Order: sequence, then structure tokens, then C-alpha cells
Amino acid sequence: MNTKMNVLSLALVGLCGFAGSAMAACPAGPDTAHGGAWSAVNALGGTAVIATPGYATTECRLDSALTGDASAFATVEDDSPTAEPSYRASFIINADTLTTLGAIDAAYIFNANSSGGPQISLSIVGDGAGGHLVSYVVPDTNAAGGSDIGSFPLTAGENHVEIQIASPTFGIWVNNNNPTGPNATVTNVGGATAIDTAFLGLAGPTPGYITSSNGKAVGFDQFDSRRTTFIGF
Amino acid sequence: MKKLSALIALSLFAASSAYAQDGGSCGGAIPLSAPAPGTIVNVDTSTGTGWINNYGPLVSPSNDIVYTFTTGAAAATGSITPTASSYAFAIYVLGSCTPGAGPTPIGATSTLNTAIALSGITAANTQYWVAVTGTAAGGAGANGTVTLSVDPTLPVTLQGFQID
Repeated sequence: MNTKMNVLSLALVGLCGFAGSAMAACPAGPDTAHGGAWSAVNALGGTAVIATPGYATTECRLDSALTGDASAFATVEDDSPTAEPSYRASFIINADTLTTLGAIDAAYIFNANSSGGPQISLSIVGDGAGGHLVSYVVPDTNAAGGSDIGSFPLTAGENHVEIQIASPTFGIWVNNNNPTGPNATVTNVGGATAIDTAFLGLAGPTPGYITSSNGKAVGFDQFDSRRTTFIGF
Repeated sequence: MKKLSALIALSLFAASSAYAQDGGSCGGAIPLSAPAPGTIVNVDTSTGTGWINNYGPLVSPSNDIVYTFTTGAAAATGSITPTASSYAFAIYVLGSCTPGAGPTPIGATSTLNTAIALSGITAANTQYWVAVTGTAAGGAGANGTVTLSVDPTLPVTLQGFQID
């Protein structure tokens, strides 16, 4: 597996030959059925659509917005991983639209699942001062409650988030381009960690997220997943 | 005789563990027993432990103290209002209780004098939990005291009892 989701990148411009037209360079939808590269679009109480422009000079991005309740989701799905014992993923997120997200308002933004269920869950939450944090939850059989958690601040504009899981180790990089210096490392990841499926986009919001940020689109771009090599930016 | 003593000791230990209502586990959730008008509940999370790591997408790096109530023949119409606190608290109303990976709250507040209205988020004859904890931004050190004003119209039934 070395899946590079160039549906949101300039590479698609070359494929389509529409370098002069940003709109024409973008697929009709994120999934393969609509010219994109994702396995599927999953949206209930929300939308996951292609928008322009992209981030980091690309033509297109994914806009995910929730309009429902705590069960709402608006994600794209990557089924290309196959019980991957070592898995890395990276993406850009821009949450500038969430101007009123409070410290108890959150939604998932990324999940990497194995056959045993979610292994890596990332969420966005307000910091109580107008900013945002990205939080992670990973299983840890040695930890109280069976998981390890942590949060790191996001900046205004584009943020690069990268995760890596290779049992028993998990790492996360947030706006951090140092392969050997992740923001956090978990060394006791347990359970069924072989990754089969990844989901990118908003899902499972708290009631406060819907109240504060209903219909506001969060942008994603430059998704890339690999087995081992640091992706960076 | 030795066997009898051991059995008595074991029984006492088991009873103590099973009914320890310190808010440090789902089974040990503290009952919000029938409040009088203007009931004040004083919580100190610094005496607890961090036993719920996340409430859905909300990670909880600090300690958690959990209360519980069960609605009667009608849904609750009262409210829970934090009126004072020594730290960046979070109050969550939960529809279920799970250690480790907790459920997404059905109601929440992290602002003094901003109530969680129970009308509309509760149903009749259903058990709920109220978690007092901290926010992700507060980090692991976000522990301290919170004063809750529990609306007296909260219909509750006794969840458990202890004979000391």
C-alpha cells in the first residue's frame, strides 16, 4: 500500500489536462464513482464535497460540514489498506470557519480502523480561547482506561497532521516536519492494530459542536498514507 | 473459625467495594438523590482519578467524578448549573457510563452560571450520569472544586444505599 490521495492535489490537473481551469481540474466528487480517488463518501446529516481552491497550492480540497446531530457524519473512506501492521497517514486541515467552537465542542476528523474497530481517533475541539486543538485517542493495554490521549494546538490556516501506528508504537506530528521527533509517542499500543480502513472528515459531533458550528465547512487536503516512510510536508 | 473470619472479612471487603459511591467508577457513581429546593452539590475532582479518557470526541486528561440520577414517570425538566469553580471544569450529562472510552455527552457546559437544561435531552424512567471533569485544553492538571446548583424539579430515584 502506498496510497496517495491526489484527488485533492495538483497531480489531477496533469491527469485531466485542465491546468488552466481549477474547476475543471477537480473531480465531481471525492469518490472513484465521481472521478476522485476515495473508496466511498459517507454522509448523513452533513456533506463531504470537493471545493476549490485546495491548500498548499493545490487546485481542490475536501469540504466536510455537519448539519445534523451527534450521529451525523460527513467523511470520505479509504479501503486500500489491507490489515496493515504499519500505517502512516498525513493530511492538511483548515478549521478557520469554526470561529465559535468552545472547549466542550468537538467532532472526529480522522479514524483509522482495524477489523477490531477504531484504532486511531483524531478529533478537533475548541481551546476555550478562540483556537482549536487536535486530540488523539489510541488503545493502550497498559494504561488506565485502556487508552492514551493527548491534544496539540492547531494554528490559524492550514495545519499538517501526521500519524503513524506500528504496534506497539504510535506517533503523532502536528505542524512538525521532524521525522524523529513526533509531538507524542505511545509505546504500548495494544489490540488489533492492523489498519484496514481510514475515514477523513467530520463525524460524531457533540451537541455543542452542532449548536456552534452547524453547516460550517472544515477543509481537508493532501491526504497521503503509506506503510512506513515519513510523509512530512 | 478461621474460615468464618476470612469469610466475614471477604464479605465486608466485597460490600465496601460494591457500594463505594465516590464517583470513581460507573458502579460507584454518586446518586443525585432527591434534592431539596436549591440543592448545592460540592465536587472536588482533585480527590478523584482520571478513569474516563474520552467522552466521544472530547478527550479528558484530568480526573473524573461521576454522579447519577434516574428519571421518574416523566422526563427531567430541571437543570444543573455550575455556580463556582476553582479550575477549567467541564460538566457532561451522559446517556450511558463506560470507563475508559466514555460516550458523547448529550448535554454539556464549561461556563459558570450556564446551565445544562435537562428538558429535551432526557426521557422518562431512564438512568443518566453527570460527569464533572476538565477540558482538553486544561490538560491533566485541570482538577479542583466545582459547585453545582441542582434544580429541585429534577425527578430522581435512589440508585443505591449503604449500611455502615
